[in-house]
Amino acid sequence: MKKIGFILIIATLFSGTVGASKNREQLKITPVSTLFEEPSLYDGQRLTVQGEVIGDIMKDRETFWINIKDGDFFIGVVINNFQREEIRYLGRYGVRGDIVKVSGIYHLHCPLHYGERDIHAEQLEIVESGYKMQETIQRDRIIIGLLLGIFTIIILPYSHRKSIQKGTDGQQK
Amino acid sequence: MIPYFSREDVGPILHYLGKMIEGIGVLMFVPFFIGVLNGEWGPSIDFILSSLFSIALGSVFLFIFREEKDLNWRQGMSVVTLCWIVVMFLGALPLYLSGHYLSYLDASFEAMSALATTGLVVVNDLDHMSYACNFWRHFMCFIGGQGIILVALTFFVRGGSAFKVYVGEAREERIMPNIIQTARFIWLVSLTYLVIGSAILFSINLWRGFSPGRALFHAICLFMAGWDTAGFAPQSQNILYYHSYLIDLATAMFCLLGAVNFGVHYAVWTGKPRELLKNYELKLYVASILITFFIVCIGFKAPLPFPNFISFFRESFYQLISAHTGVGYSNIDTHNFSYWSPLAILGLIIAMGLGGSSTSTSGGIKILRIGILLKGIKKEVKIFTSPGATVVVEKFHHIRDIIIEDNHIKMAAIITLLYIALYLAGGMIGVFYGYPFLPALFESVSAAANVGLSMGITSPFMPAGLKLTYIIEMWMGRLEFFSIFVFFSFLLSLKSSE
Amino acid sequence: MEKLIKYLKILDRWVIGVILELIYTLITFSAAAILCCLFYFIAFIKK
Repeated sequence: MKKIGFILIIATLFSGTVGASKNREQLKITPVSTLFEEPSLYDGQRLTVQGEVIGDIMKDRETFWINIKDGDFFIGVVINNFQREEIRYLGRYGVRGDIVKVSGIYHLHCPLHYGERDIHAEQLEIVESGYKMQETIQRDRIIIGLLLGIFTIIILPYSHRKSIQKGTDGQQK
Repeated sequence: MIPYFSREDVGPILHYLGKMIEGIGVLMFVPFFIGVLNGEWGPSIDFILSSLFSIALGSVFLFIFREEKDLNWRQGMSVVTLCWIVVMFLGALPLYLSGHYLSYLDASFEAMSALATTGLVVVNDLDHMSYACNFWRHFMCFIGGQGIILVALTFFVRGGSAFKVYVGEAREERIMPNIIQTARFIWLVSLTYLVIGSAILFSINLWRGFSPGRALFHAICLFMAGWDTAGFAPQSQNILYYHSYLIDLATAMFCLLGAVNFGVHYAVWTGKPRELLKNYELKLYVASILITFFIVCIGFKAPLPFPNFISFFRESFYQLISAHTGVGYSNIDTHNFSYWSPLAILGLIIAMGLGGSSTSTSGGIKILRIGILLKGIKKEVKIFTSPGATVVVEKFHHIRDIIIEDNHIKMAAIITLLYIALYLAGGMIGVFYGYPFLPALFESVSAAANVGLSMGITSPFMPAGLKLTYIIEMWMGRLEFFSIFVFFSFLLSLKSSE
Repeated sequence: MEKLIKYLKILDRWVIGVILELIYTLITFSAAAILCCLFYFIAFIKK
């Protein structure tokens, strides 16, 4: 009895450790670049990626598409309505999008989405919230623009005075 | 041997150049207004600055060179060649000021890629670019695809010089008796499809959850770049960004329509729909699409890496139609080509190299030339196999019935050989820079045929020498060589007359 | 009135022209799809 109890305790501890390491594996972030450098290696596996949400959230039947930018690499992620509501900032001009951590199954050719490379998100976490960026106006460009404007206004009437019209033979018309 | 140019030719050439430069400056007001509407003050200032610079420069040319002379052929072609280079540098100015390009060379590369409707990109962080700047990239595709010269013909080039500059920009066919009417008809077709195509794309985007403003912006940009077979998209992932087979289908349809001869559009739109079935070039084009698709398909060996037929068709056919129409839209990442076999890639290279129809927005050798060469071969075989006194006549239907003459065959052969030489030269330069042969050839053909598909060589970090090579290839491919040869002989003759 | 009829006739031809061209592209794509389908099933059978 004691032996069985001891074995059960060890088994529980062991499975807990395995579960924790599985969670750690799941949360170990895979750079999106790796998915492109070794496309088949991760096909069908559960993994975690992190990046900025850019552009738009696009509807696809009951789910939604987002695009995540990780450096120079991008991946399409399929999310549900609850996950969609968590995203507040989408990356575009003047806006740094939310940095999200997405865990889910990666498909090289998703059979549900007509062969697209995607991740079906099981967990989505906002790691860093996005924000609006302050636009910097360069004053020297305004000054150059003004000077060019004045110059153009002065020269336009002279440049558009009646031109000397000649035929192909060079004779004035 | 060198055509005779004198210093008297300089004035009229630079006079018309001045008009074109002013025109580009005026067109920059469009992205300026878009920037203002969206509260993008930095880009708006960049555009007004660039616009004023162009108008001022154009005005200086017009002030100094007042002589408005009817251009002869040499002068017309020189105007075209010079115009393209100057417009490239001016179009690059607002791009460079945006901060999304590592150097002015990169901005110029992007500008030439847009104007020549190629679609190769070296932009940094496109997804955070302003609406104004992004619109300008696509608008340059529209201007370049329609023809910078066509834009000028519509507004301010007089009839006497008009046809010479029109032909200089690699459009030979007079669709209507008057060249200005031809220019306006081309605009009519383009604007009609702009409305229809944008409406369809806008509806799809709206239905998929885009905000109305962004749905419209993406629709117009995608249409302009698609119809003019450029291949730019508002986001870095190109068509893959949308994850939509509907967007794939709509863009593919408009790309194919943009690659059809404008004369065919004219015939079909004026009560001669049979032209769709009778036109020799169009029949050959469809056959070529199916044959090159056949090559692509057999390039994929079993077991296919696709879970179902739809995904196989979507990936393989979209790339093929994109290559053959010269658009360069892609619904896959460049890394996907790693599981395309060399034969499948070769199928794409052949499709890109052949190109679309003549007098369309497409690039490449052009299907009509291939058709003429095929007819020429058939004619020669008949001559060899017929009795001595036989007169062999080969003809085909292209808007009207045309009898093949030796001159047609000669010109088709010369242009075809020049394109092949350009493709190979660019490929060799790519190999010289250390890239493998097939990707180097792919990229070279993509640039010279103004397609824009990439196997990953084109990037902001590629060697400057290769950027310059592709700029020259895009320029030569777009103008189909002769305007450029005439222009260089103009420069040489000026030097020799000193 | 005559001018209106004339413009309507022109518009009618444009509309028919556009529709025919769109149908033409769909027919081309369908032909390619049939070709692709054949290849896919040949490859499937070979597997």
